[in-house]
Amino acid sequence: MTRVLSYADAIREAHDLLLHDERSYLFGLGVTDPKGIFGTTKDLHLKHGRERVFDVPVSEHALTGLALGLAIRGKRPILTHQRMEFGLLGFEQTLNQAAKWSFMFPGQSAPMVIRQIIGRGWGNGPQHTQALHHLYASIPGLTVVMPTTPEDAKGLLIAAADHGSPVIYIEHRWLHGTTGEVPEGRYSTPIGEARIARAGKDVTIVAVSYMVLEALRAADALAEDGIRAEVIDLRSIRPWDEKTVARSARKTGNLLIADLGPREFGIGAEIAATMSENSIVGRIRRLGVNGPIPSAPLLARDAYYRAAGIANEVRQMFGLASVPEALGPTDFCDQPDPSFTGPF
Amino acid sequence: MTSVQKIRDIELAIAGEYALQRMRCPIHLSVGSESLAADVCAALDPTDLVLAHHRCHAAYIAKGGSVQALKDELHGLPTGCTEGRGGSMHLSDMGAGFLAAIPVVGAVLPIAAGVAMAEKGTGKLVAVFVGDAAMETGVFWETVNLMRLYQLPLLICIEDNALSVDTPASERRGMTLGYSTDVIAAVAAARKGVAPLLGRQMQRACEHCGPRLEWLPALAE
Repeated sequence: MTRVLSYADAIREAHDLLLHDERSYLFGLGVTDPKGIFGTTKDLHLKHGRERVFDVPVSEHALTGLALGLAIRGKRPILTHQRMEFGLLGFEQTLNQAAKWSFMFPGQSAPMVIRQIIGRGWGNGPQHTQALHHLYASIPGLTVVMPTTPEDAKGLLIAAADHGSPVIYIEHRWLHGTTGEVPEGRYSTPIGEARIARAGKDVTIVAVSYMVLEALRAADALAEDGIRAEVIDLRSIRPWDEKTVARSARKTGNLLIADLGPREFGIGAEIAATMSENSIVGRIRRLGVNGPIPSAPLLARDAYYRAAGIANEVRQMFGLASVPEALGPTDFCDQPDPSFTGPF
Repeated sequence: MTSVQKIRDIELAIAGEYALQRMRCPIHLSVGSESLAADVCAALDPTDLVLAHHRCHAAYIAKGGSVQALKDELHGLPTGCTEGRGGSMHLSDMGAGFLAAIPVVGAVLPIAAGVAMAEKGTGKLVAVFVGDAAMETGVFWETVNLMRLYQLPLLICIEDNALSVDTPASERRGMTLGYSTDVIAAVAAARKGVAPLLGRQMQRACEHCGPRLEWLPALAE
């Protein structure tokens, strides 16, 4: 059975199922507060108890170590950060300790998950908007996933908790309110497998997280120009699904990587290099964010690629003229939809 | 033979063999600073757990870690305690309850706190050994707060040689940092989740990293 759930509720449902396992822990700033991390952890402490579901001091370094210590003793901790950059305060533990633990200590393992949320819009500014999946994806020993749909949000969180080694689970704040069909019960979305979000044969657009939604809108626009875009939702960043991307890129002969992290040294570079090294495809373009995102809505508006920018990049690949995005002076483009009214 | 004497004999033997250049890894010897680990581990139950910092030989040996596996690890052999993966700064002997050693100063502390949280209610105690320089890290105080907040069965043991590599405490401390010196009382309190910081001033006899004896030179003969 499936029902329509929001992305946030799908995450909450995954947490709820996981917490039925007595080895599971869920902690982070705001986990037990009335808002429950955008609804993703709401009231779970009331059901599963504050011994295993708890709020925390602002001590990200130690809390990452706490998760690791629990993990190496057979527990299943999930640590949450309401914005991605807070995870950097625990990066020492993630990079030096957790990522290497099973390598340094044969026979031991570190099955832990760190949830991190990328912010956007509504004045989130240069720090809260950072997408750092490329940073984590460059580290051997870590697994990095970025679900786009509610179904995958639930399935990948369960897969991450069951993975047996450290997993960085990255959400986008603009996905929490999106809805979709979600199966009931406990299921896993396979880590390392991309999803064909839309089939096409002229150009392959590889996108991650919220950029998948923009890429799908771009594909709609391109269809009017007679360009049939295949949109791939990468879902897993490390490991990433080389086979699915290669199969599609070989078919279309054109590859565009639409990332929400940095263009330079970002995951687009890795994907492009792999496709190029293996002579899969000749025509490759990358899109990404090219610097810190300012707070003011009209400044931030120009810092992001939206559907129109993605479509224009494809049009350029095909030698077609760009179609300017029709925006008025008060089109801030800083909400996922009008129902989002802040505050963060 | 006391644990202190056993540790010192093993460490001096390692120091002597180091010149053969077959132990191709850094070594941080515990000569001179054996006694806190020896006393704490003597007060622990065999099922209790220990973690440590880079100068970990004393705690490893005192907890009952395999000496042969230690020597093999220093020699980079597959029979080493981490199969040659970790070397002297990442010792581990799960059978002895010595889970891990970590050289990033202070970094072992929250991991030990997590282990203590996992063991809460089982009766097991977790002892973690660090040097006095760990008290200068933020994660030290983050961990102390977590330990108190969650009443973890964790005992932080500070091997205070007043040196950070070779930088004296006088160049590193803006305030006086205190700790209890009563091992028996601290272990008992730790079992209840209310341990004080435990520490002991000890003299590091060797150089920071390497076999050369800088103090107690007579031992070298």
